[in-house]
Amino acid sequence: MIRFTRRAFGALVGTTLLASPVLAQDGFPDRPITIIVPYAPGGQGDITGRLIADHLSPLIGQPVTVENRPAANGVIGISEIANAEPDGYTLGVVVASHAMSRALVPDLPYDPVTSFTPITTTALTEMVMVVPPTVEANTVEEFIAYAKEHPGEMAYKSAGQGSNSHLFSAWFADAAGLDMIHIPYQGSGDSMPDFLAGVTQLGFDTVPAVRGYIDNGQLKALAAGGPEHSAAYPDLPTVAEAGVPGFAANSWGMVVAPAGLPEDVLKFLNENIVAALQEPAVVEQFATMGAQVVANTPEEAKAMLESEETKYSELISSLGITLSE
Amino acid sequence: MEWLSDLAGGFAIAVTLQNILLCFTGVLLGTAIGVLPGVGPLVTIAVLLPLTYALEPTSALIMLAGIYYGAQYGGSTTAILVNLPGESGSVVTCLDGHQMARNGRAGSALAIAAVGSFFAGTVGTLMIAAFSPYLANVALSFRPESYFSLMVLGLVAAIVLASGGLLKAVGMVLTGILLGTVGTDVTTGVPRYTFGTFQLLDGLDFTALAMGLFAFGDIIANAARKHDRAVVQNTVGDLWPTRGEFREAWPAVLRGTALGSLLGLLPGGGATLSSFASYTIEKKISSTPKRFGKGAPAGVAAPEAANNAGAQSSFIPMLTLGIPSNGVMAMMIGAMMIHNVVPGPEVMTRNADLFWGLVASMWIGNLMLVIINLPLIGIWVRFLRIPYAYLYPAILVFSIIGLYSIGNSTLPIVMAAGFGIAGCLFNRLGCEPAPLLLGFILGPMIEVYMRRALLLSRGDATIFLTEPLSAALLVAAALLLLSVLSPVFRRRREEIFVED
Repeated sequence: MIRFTRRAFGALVGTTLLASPVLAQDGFPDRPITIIVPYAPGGQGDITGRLIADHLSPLIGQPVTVENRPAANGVIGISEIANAEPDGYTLGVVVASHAMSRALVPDLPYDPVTSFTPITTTALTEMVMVVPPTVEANTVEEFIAYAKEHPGEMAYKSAGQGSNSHLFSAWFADAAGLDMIHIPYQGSGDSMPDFLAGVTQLGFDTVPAVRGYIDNGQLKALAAGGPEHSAAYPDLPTVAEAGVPGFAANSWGMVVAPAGLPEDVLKFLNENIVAALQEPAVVEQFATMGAQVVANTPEEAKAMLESEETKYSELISSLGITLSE
Repeated sequence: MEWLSDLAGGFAIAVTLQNILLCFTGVLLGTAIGVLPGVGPLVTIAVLLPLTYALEPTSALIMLAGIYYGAQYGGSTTAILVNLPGESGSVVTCLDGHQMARNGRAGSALAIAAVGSFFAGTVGTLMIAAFSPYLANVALSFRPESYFSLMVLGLVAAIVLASGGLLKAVGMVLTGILLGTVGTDVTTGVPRYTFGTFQLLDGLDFTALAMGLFAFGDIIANAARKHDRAVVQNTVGDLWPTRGEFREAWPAVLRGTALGSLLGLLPGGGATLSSFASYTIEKKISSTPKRFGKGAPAGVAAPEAANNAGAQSSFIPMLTLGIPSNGVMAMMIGAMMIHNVVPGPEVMTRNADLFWGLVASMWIGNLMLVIINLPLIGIWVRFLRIPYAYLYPAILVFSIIGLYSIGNSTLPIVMAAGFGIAGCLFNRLGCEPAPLLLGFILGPMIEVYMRRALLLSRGDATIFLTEPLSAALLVAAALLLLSVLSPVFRRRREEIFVED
């Protein structure tokens, strides 16, 4: 997860543009809209929610407020979104971990796909494959060879059991046939002291989380997570190009409403949220987080949620990742 | 000498309008609660935790820290004028401070206490700035097994050196560790003691625990107790010490500062231990030990300097290693975690602004405290007359609003109420709740480091003894435990804490 200072919020609020409101058909919206962010303030889901709130409000002429419900990896906040009235006045922001929840969380109180109406994908966050300098490898091929010379001695680190960084490293190690163990930490920041010291030897992180370390030589970036090349490190090959076909490690955000949102409200919200996401200030703000704005149609967002859910569920069960004994 | 320029940068952060105001709020509140017996910094910080949710972490810590060292100043006022320790760190100040007041030298005692504290605070601040980067650098090279052993040593030392009954402290630490296991297990992601609910997946809420145990528990226990309203010495008198008093006080301030700075570094150390120890030493080395207890200026100067120096230097292990040495530091770590700042050596690099801003604010806060405490002494004296019948309900209402605001949910209020009953019970049984908080914070960390080390060694438990640093730390912890069992030490320990 990307951390972001509250000071940046101030800057964001300051750059909010005042535009003349577009009136909706059927009088929607005629009262304030709430965006539930099921994650802690400062994380990527939270910043996404606040950016949209700040830029959507002037477009639709109604206040848009953000409510954080950070608990239980988002499950509590997301079930609040699922149980809300599908009238367009309660929206939510979910991130990639949402697509893993069915496979990981027993007794999930909602269906991660059918309980929601996807409105648009907000942005894709690129991830990079990084290793500490103590690992004698400068390419993915060299890393695989190095790890094969040291079977049972190496470890990859993650932001927690069942986090996407766990999944990506496990996927990579499995696909490349490496014998490595997993060391979970509490977030990317917590994993850094051991990683920089070479106690753990492989990680997938978002660009802003590791850029400083890469630029001053404390970490080596071997490849872009993919599927696209990294905007920050365009010379890096993707992991898929470097020998693990089909590999893609990224993170995304999505604006959703409860299932059963009326067609016209969905169309109205999609158009305005897409417009908000495409404002230059918003695009630039996402870029500083290592993310590229997507702003697709509801159909595309729905297809993406379904395919991501299927992909992650299959990966999680084939890799044997669980959150129970 | 890079730290000097870093410290200058810290001042730039500390003197922003918002941070200056928050620092002022912190030290003002700290003085107020320091003056009032029965309301301590732990209670106050617990009550104010939800208020800091909306602040930047730097600003939040600046205010919370101000409460702690501010209380050291306020506590001496009550000790000198009323012969009641406003704060546990000023228990020994009563002995000679109140005698000076009775001899008509109240003003002089107050001035010695305030200026001595200020000098000690300045030295303490410089010490944090100079030593922390070095210590953090050393800690960065620690492997998980060494970190585990360091935390074990910290916990053992905190129990051994803390005041109060040893067995009770151990019991409270273990209770804290057990409470800390509630929630998602970091290593496997398995939910523990959540009773199938999603509400407990993130563990027991730190704010609810702290507020229940300290604020609610203390208030119930205090309300049940009869308060003797002691007579306040009304004549403060001349604030200027005489030449003789000054000559006696300043070497004592130097010694108190040195001792407090060192003892604050120890786990279990901090203000209280430092003040007791420095009073004992002053009495020992004095050429006229008979004057102690009858209004000796050195008996005020040394413990007052020591408690403030100790309060400052106890921030060092907290900021550089992420190890809380006492209850207040455990509270500060809780506040950092609420703001997504992971405590540990990385704070110095990843949150450099937070570190240097906090350090710089401490010196500014100490300067403010001298001004708040000396010319405005009359206000604080009047403050002592606020009836608890109004004060306690006000704190309760404020706390409940704060608890509700954590997640717009009533669950934390219910949890805090439950912990409040437990806290009251502990109080009745004579069990200090602070070790519980240490266990609650340190327990999960110890577990995570231990399991991480075992994962990395592929299950080989000898790693804790084969890694030299880890082995040395564990041996130190074992020696410390053994020393408690020796009769000589136990007698000394009782002697030091005899006033408690």
